Order: sequence, then structure tokens, then C-alpha cells
Amino acid sequence: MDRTLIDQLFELGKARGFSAQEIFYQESKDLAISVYEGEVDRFTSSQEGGMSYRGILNGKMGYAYTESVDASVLEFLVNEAAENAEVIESEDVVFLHDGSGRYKEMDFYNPKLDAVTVEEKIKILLKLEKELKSFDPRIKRISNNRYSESASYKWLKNTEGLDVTDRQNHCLAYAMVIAEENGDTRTGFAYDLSRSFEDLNIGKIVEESASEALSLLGAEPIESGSMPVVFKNDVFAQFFSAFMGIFNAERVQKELSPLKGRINDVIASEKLTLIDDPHLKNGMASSAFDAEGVATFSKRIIENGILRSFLYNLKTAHKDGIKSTGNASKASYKGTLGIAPFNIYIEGGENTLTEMMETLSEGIYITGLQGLHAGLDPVSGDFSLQSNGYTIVGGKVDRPVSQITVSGNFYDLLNQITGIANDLEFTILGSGYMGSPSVSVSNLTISGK
Amino acid sequence: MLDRKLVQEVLAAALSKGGDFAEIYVEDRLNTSIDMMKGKIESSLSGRDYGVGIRIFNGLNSVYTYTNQSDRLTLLKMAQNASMAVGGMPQNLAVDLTIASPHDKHPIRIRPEQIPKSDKINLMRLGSEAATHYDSRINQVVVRYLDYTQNVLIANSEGRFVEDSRTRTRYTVSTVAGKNGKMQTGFIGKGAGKGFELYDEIDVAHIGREAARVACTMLDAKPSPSGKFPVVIENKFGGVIFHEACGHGLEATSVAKGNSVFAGKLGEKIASEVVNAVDDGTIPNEWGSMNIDDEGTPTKRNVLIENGILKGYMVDKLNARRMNTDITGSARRQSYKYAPTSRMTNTYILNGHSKFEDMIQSVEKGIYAKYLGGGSVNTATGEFNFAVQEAYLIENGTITSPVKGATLIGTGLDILKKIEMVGDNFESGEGMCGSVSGSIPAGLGQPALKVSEITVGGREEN
Repeated sequence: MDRTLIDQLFELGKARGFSAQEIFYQESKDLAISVYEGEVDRFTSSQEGGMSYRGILNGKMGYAYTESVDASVLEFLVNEAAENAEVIESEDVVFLHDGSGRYKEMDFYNPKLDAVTVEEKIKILLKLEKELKSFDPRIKRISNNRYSESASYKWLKNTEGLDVTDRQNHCLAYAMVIAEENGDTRTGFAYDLSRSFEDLNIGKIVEESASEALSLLGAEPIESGSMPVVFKNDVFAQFFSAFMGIFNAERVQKELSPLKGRINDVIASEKLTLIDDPHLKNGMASSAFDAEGVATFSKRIIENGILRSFLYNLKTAHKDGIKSTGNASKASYKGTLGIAPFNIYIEGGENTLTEMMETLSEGIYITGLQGLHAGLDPVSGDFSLQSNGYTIVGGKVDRPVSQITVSGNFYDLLNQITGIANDLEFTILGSGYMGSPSVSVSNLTISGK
Repeated sequence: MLDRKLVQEVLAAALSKGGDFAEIYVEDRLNTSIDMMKGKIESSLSGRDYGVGIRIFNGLNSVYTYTNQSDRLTLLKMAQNASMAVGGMPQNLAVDLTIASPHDKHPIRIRPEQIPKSDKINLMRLGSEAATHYDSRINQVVVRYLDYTQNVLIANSEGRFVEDSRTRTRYTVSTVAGKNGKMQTGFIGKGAGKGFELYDEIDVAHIGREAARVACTMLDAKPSPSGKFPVVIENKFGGVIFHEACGHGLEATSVAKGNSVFAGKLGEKIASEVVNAVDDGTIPNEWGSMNIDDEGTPTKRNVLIENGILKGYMVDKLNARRMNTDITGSARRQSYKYAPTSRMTNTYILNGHSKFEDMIQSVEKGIYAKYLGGGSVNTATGEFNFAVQEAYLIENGTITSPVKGATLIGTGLDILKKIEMVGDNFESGEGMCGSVSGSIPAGLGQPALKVSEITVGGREEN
């Protein structure tokens, strides 16, 4: 895009009375391919971008965004942002970052990914389809498969001295399969994600998706009751990430988190340590700066069960009289500014999953949770979720289970953690990018037969 | 939005190297959203979405490409590249566009962009105050106001050239009630395919009070029992049960390749005979209504289930080819960033003859689900779940104490047969539905109904 447009925009904004102004420009190039019965079934490519504009007018922050970035839209942005600023009644003090602080040098753009031909990408999908079909006669269909890649570019510039950019790319492949036996149907899903095409592990996707579907064949509900529960690593990460908003300082300050006033209190089992590290080398959510351009750093949110910090942006940190934790977020140029972690994870323990399970004479091993957007309430902590998995008998995985719910209260659960395994795994299937080892909990209610 | 001559050129370019059908979708959308917390405006956002999507078929295969640049050269180059990617023989089809101007069934009386923000904020204040003053235990109220107008142009190589404008307005109130360190939430919303005239018809103070009432009621509630029980599901948003348990499984998106438990069951009895269900995108100014779908086909009323018998699916152009059947005006997408596919519009279970009181009286021990939350489904296995926001116990034919934290689960094929009674108090509700072609406004609705047995996931053991 034409960078002189931004100078024009800031001139226009200044004339309108904005004391400080900022743009957040984003563009991305995406490709997605699916195959069906040996042919390319769907092929999607795109090139898009958009820009968010915000500025301070009489102490209030006004926002506007556009997807067509050209000279004709500058006036729209300034006028809309001014109108939006004028209606703000919140008395929160707002400001823009001046670009100070040390930015960690990191490179998350792999130019080699651009050189991979479309034919090679199709080839790995055809291989995926073929291997899945011959994996086991009970694998009847592949309901979905995809190779996708995305390259994105981000530019933050303001009138206060900030001017930072970031470029990243990655590729992803996944498969969802259907297994059938004796009139019973089960599905399995697996994906792999990488910054390099060569590292995408098709064999792992085949093995994991097919095994999941096959091992759930014949699953049945169990009798209702309370029992110890072990959550599979990535499943616990999905579950935990659904509650992430409770660590968001904005929500804490606005009475939307029960953790208000609990800093340095014990809120969880001493086994639990929660870390947000924006600099993880293989982290898919890594970045040297946040959505306000503030330099990021690693921090402990929970340390051995003790709540150590919330996640802050500039405004909320100012309100609490501390420094921003560099967790300002913007899902896209479309939204206003929020708060979110980068690579957030629960630190691994010492035992393997097998060893952790061996301590239980009976219980349930949860390998799937559904309805995470609906069946839980982060404010009350109550959850009741459709689940599947396996019974644990004599410390070992026994038979497959489906059509049950697992219910409890998240804040109680944090204190009922009895074990954390050493098998840390990150997932993109939750809300954000989160990692967790497998976790055992002393007692939850299972509803089944 | 785009000149007809340019559209014609782009479609011709899209078929120049391969493909047998080409379509262009142009979208220009203005969004407004305002958030109020504790009676103060926290944020106000406006924006403009603009982009163009080009889709090409070659037999059963498809290519989709989109951009938010709309100059002639970019579009022509994009169309040619897509044409190359789809493969097949160039057909050199002559594209001759005829402008269709369907009658507007969903006229907007008061355009929201002509209403000053201060009027919108005054409405928000009314709901916020009503919620705040409902009970001293209410300690947070969030009111959200939304409106948008989405203008679309859809043209294809069959000669169709049609434009539509969709305006939608929504108002929601979320509350938090707290006592002794315990917190509970409530959420009530109302939306329609209407402009600012929506507010002549609805009482925002009532929405505020209702959201506050739910949170306070749940604060006093004990944990829901767990196990299998009869459940009476209230009307309006209660329709989410059909949306999840069956609706998604009737979309060609999953039916065409046999990835739905309802595939191959046309003409079969899949539900109890008191069940009649339709998907109807024509209802004037409803939340999920449109004049045309996102492939440019006029929407219609599609009968899905008649007296328990499966009568039809919801089908888009691409899946119609695979299924060798007709399209049903059901193609939808969130924006130009998504290729369209078959989705629900307004999905309803129609009125039956049972009385609500009789349903409650027929239950010895069970659950009355007054307001449902969201849910999800796996169409391949038919397993679904949805949350209950406000629930009560039914004991000996009477609604008694409130219970919290209940989720209802089951499988579509099983639950449809267990719908024992269908009431006569139909009302519609609305939600946002997420699936392969993005998040779209989906209307739902039903009269109250009784399910003889469903798994209730609660925390109280029996």
C-alpha cells in the first residue's frame, strides 16, 4: 500500500482535532486446497487487507476501519472515528505507545514456503487421502481434508513515535474421517501445523485421525456418578482456554471476572503453573510486540497455584498503576482493542500420562469435549460439556465412552487437580493458542445412563 | 456496485481457461456497533467491508478466490488464474447478463445509518437502567447495539445479474449478578431483518429486566440433576434444539457426500408424527430472511419434515450437481471471504395442538428448559449438545425450583422420535450460526415441546 496515504490521513485527523492517532494495517495472502476421490475438490486463494484507524479526541478513543484502503476513504475514517470518540462516556484514561522498549528480534517468516508448488501441496493431500483409505477397512469416508497456508503482514504506526512491522507465515493440513462398524459411526480429527512445508507430518495426521475414530467404535454411555477424571493434554488446553477471559484485566476491572482482588491468593492446586511466553521459538502466536506496539515478554500468570498477574494493555495497566504486560490484542483490523495471551501454557509435571493414570483404580479419560462455546460460563465457572473418551479400570484405559457429559465448576476444579503429566501439547482448536499437559482431577460429575 | 460490462468481462475471463460455470459476488457492507458497560459507553465502532469473490465450477470441483481490490486488471487476472486452477477444457461460453430485479419482500422503513448515534445510545440506556434497577445483586450490565447494511451483487454465467440489500439490527443485554462471591450471568437479545423501526415494536426495558431476572434466578438456583429425564423445552430460541439435532444434518453441505446421519433417508419417517419443520427464508424482515440467497437464487419456504416424514434437504448449486437434485435457495456465506454453501435461513418447528400446561402436568420428574443457550453438532454421528441458560425442575406436574448448569445431549435420530408433544405457542428467536461458510444470522423458532427422555448433564447426583 501507499505509505504516503498515512501521512495524509494523520494530517486530516490533526485538522479534525485528534491529539494522537494510530493505524493498524494488516494484509494476508491465503491458499486452501481440499481433495475428494483423488481430485482437487475445492481450491481457494485470496489476497486481502484492511486498516484500522484510531485516535484520541478530547481524551476519548475513537475507532473506525476500512477494507478498501485508498484516498477516497480517509475522510470516512476520520469522521467516523471522531463521531465514535464523541459518544464515549467511559472515563478510562487512554493513550498511544511511543515505541519505547526493547523489541526481541525474531523471524517467523519462512521464504521457502513461497517456493513450494501447488502440485506438491496437492500431492501430500492425495497421499493423505490414499493412506487413510487403506488404513483400515472400517474407515469408510474422509468427510473433510485440507491443506492451507497463510502469509500475513502487520504494520503499526502512530503519531507518537511508534513504527513497527511483522511478517509471518505458516502451513496447515488436517483430516476428518468417519469409521463405521455394526451400524455405529464415529469420527476422528487430526491436524499438523508448521512454518515449514517439509515438516508437515502427514503420517501423524493419518495415524491420529484414524485411530481416534476406530478406537471410539462401540462407545456407550456409562452410569451417572462422580469419579476421578483425566483430561487428554490438548483437550484440557481447549477447555482451559475457554476461561481465558478471567485473566483479562479489562474484564477483572469491569466486574466480569471472579478473580478480582485475588492477586497473590491461592486459586489452584500448587501443581499448576500458567505461563504466557510470546517468544517461544515454535509458538504459533509469537510476536515481539502487542497490538498497541508494546514490547512483549514472558510472564507467569499462576505460579504453583498462586495468582501472580492479570493480562494488561496500556489502558488497564494505567488504571491499576502498573506497567502493561504487553498483552493488547486485536483479532483483526475490524475490532477495537482487547487483551489476550500469546503462547499460553500450563507447565508440565514429572510423570508420564501412563504413570498418572496408574494411580487411579477407576475413573474416566476424556479425549473429546464439545460445545465449549455454550456449555460453560467463565463468570460463574459452571460447566457441563458433552464428552467422549474411555473408562479407566485398574489404572489402565478400558472401553470407549460417548454420550456423556462432564460437569463441575472451573474454580473448584483448579483446586482439585491431582496430577499434571509431562506431555505438554499446544492446540489451535481452543480459543487462541494454548498448551497443556494431560491433567487429572479428583472428582467431577458424569451424566450418562 | 460493479459495472455490468466489467462483471461480464470478469465472468468471461473466469471461463477462458477452463470451468463450466462462473459466479461473481460483490459485497459492500457498513457496520455499526456500540457497547455500554455499567451505563457508560465503552466503545463505538464503525467500519466498511468491501470485497469481491469469484467462484468457478468444473463438474463437481470448484475454485474460489477473493480480494478487496476491485480494479479491472486485478479482477481479470484473478479470474484467469482461477480459471486455470479449476482445469478442464475452455468452453468459451458467451455470457449474456440479464438484470433481475426481484420484488423487495423485506423493506426497511427507517434506515439505521440515518439515525444519530445519540438516539441509539438513549435506547441502550433504557435497557441498561432497567437491568441495573431490577435487583441490588446486579453488579454488571453490558448492552450491545448492532446494525449493518450488506449490499450484494451476484452475477453468473447462466446470465443472472441481481442485487440485494440486507439490513439487520440487534440489541442484546448481558448481566452479572453476584452474592457472597458467587456470580451468575443472564443474556437476552432481540434482532430482526429490520431497520430502526424494530424499536417501535420491542420494549428494550423488558429485555434489560429479563436479562437481570435470569441472572438473579440462577444465583438462587441449585445444581441441575444429572441423568435421563423428560424435558419440556420452551418456545422461541428453544428452536435451537431442532437447529442442532436435525437442521445441520439436512444441509447438503454434509448430505451430498454422505456425511450426515440423515443422508439417503428422504421419504422415511425420521421423527415422531407430531413434528412438522420448515426452513423459510421468505418471512418478511425475519432475522434469517433474504430476497435472494448468496448464489442469487430467490429464497423460498422449504418443507423439511411433514408429519415425521423427511421431505427435503437444503441444497446449494455445487451440491445440487453431486446430489442430482434442485437448488432450494439456501446458499449462504458470512462475507465475500467465504464460498457459499447450503445453510439454514429461518428454521422452525411448526405449531402442534398440545397445551403447555398439559405438557408440564404430564411430567412426574423432569426439567423445564425456559431459555436455551448455544449448542453444536457432529453431523456424521448426529451427536449434539446445547446449554440451558434458565432451567427449572418439574416435580409431580408442577414447575418448582430453578436449577443451573444443565446441558442437554443426545443424537438427532433418537431425539426426533422422542418429541412426544408439540405445543401451540410458536414464536421465533434468533442466533448466530457458525459453519464452513462462516458465521451467519440464523432464525429459529418453535412452540414449546416435550421430549420424553433426554440426557441432562448436571452436577447433582441422583
